[in-house]
Parts: sequence; C-alpha cells; structure tokens
Amino acid sequence: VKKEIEYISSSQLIYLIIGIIQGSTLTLSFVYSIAKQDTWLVMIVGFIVTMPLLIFYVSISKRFPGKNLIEINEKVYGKFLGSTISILYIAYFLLIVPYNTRYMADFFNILVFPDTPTIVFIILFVFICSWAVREGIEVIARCSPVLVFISFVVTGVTILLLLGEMKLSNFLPVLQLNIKQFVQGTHIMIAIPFGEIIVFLMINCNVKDVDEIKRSTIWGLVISTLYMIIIVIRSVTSLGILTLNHVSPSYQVLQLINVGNILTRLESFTIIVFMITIFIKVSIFFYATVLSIAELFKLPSYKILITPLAIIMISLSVLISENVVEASYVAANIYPILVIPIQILIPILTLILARKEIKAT
Amino acid sequence: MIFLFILVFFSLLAVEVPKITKDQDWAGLKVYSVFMLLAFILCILQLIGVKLPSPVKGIVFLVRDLLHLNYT
Repeated sequence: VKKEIEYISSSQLIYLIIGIIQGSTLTLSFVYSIAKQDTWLVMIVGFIVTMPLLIFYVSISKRFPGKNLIEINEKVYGKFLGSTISILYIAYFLLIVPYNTRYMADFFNILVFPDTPTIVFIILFVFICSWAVREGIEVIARCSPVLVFISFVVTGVTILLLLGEMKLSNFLPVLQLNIKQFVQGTHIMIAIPFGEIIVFLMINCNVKDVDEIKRSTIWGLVISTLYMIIIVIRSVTSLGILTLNHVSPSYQVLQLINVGNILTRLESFTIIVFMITIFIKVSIFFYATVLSIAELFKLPSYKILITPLAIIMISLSVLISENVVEASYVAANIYPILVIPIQILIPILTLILARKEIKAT
Repeated sequence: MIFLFILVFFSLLAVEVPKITKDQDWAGLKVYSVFMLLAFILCILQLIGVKLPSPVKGIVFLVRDLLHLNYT
C-alpha cells in the first residue's frame, strides 16, 4: 500500500493534544451537574488515573513505529479478529464526529442564532472540517498552534477582566461528593477528554521522532489539564452554584464582564474559542475515521472517502440526538461505560499480546 | 429540497468519479460507491421524512437495558 507520508513534529503533537482536550472542555458542561463545585477535584483525579493509560498508548505506538492502529490490530490479532476490532474503533471515531458537530450546532442554535435551523451549522461545519482533512494532517497540525494560542489568550484576558467577580467562597463546601458522584465524575473525565487521546494511535505514526512521542503526549496532557482546571475555577468562582443551571457556563461567565459599561457582551469570544477548539477535535477524529476506513480496505489514498463520509456525518449529526438534554444524559450515564473496552481493555490486551509475541520470536 | 440534494450529490459524483478512474484505483472506486450509496440512502430517507432510529438509541438499549451497567 503506497501511502502519502506526512510528517508532524513533536511540538505540533503537543498542540494537537491540547486542541483535542480543549475541544472537550466546553462540551463537558454536564459534569458540573454531577460533581458540582468539586469538579476541579474530579479533573485532577481523572488526570492521575489517565497517566498509566497514556503510557500504554504511547508504548503501543513505540512498539510498532510507523504503523497506525488498524495495522497494529491486524498484526497483533490476525486478519479476522483484527478487522473486527478495527471496525469497533471506526464506529467509535464515527460516533464522536457527529456528536460534537451536533453539540456545536445546538450551542449555536440555543445561544446565538435561535431562528436558524441547526442543519445550516452542521453542513457549514462539516464542510470546513472535511476541507481541512482533505489538506491532510500536516495542515491541521500546522494550524493548531495558532488556534490553541487564540483560546489561551482569550481565556487569560477574560480571567483578568473577571477578577472582580470571582469569589473563592464559591468552592465551599469542599469534598461534599458522595462516592457515586465521585466515581461517575472521574469516569466521565477519563472517558471524554482524556481517553480520546487514543485517536493519536492513528496519528503517532506520522510523528518524525518516535522517542519524543511520550514526552509530547505527557506535556500536552499536563498543559490541557491545567487549562481545564483554570476554566473550571473561572466558572465556579464567578457563577457559584448557578454553574449547574447553564447550558454553557463558559458562555454565561463572559456575560458578567462589565468594565465601565464599555467592555460588555464579551461572550462572543466564547463562541470563537468554541468554534476553533471543536474544529481541531472534529478534524482530527474525521481524519482518523477516513484514514482507518481506507486502511481497513487497503486503499492507496484516504482522500476519495472524504466526500461520502462527510455526507454520512451530516446525516448522522441530524439523527444522533433529539436535543441537548438527551445528548447530555447519554454522555453522562451511558457513554463512559460504552468506551471502557475501546479505551482501556483492548489497548492493554494489545500491549500484552505484542509483548508475548516479541518474547516468543 | 430533494431536488437540490440530488443536484449537489450528482455534481459531486461528476467531479470525483473521473478523478478516481483516472488513477485506475478500482478498489477505491468500489469502497467509494458503497459509502456514497449509503450516504445517498440515509439523506434521501431523511429528506422524504422517514423517521430513522438514532444509532445512540441502540447503544442506550445495549448498555442500560441489556447489560444494566449505567450510572443513575
């Protein structure tokens, strides 16, 4: 199979990881209703639990340099079982793209353009993402530092402007979670932002320096966790218990900004940040979907599959959920359980089998 | 709306199929046509107003009602 070889540097990998986790930050607003003012704690515990998982992912891609997830599955599990597991992963990638697209469209529909049909945002957004995917991972990787930087700047500036509104007493009472809320919250953090790093098993084969993957991935995770905690602190300290009631706390927070009646209604900045971070996330997952389907059928190029998949994505985005409430219910209660085999069990099994194989030979 | 969709769909086909046949990528053409057909069927059914079940409904059934593993 002839491949278009595209290279990304290890620093671009950091930005891609930050981008993908930032993309989850704003869609995670339903965590506030579970973990309440202790969301920061759930995040830190989720981060600690994810660390060994991350080492597993990185050692898989280190053991098979230059191979992506589909090739690894075929090599480790054989032809039939490998293809079955690959189809499972394709279905997983295929689920995330419409879910995030739909969330973005609902966000626009609820908060910004109430009279415009959702489908308009879905079509425009999928068009942009499929364009980015057509240009290749190298282009997405090269534009990610700029986009990540923009969202860092917006967050930094808004925190400075919000300093007057913040009340640290909103964190009190601390540690008032029962064990179920704590486990569920931590599990959501592992499943949605952090576990999605498994998509980088499709991309790590494009990284120039294989030895740098581990360092870059860990740095990316650390920086993005800090970013998420800062966002949570911003929302909880300024809104307090009201955080639970909003569709998007980050959006409501910026409405509080009022500097001398001149600097007001800055919430449009949230929309910019939301767009660009979801764009990175959806593009990466779209790229992974298209690439893995092409790899499964051993096609020379993944680019011919972009148009049909984009149409399927648009169609699925309309189908996938009826409203935000249903989507949040599924994401909070069903989805974390569903992805346990995909994010945790299969990678560990792959690593064990790969080790045995190498010992046997 | 349906007419518009069919117009866009066939213009996409008219642009992309010659590119694939020029590269003589017959395996690619097969996979492409299967996915294109799937996309066409999905969209047309939605456009004429058929209520398709969401794939997430199936997942919810599998995890909550069959395996009893959900939170809450």
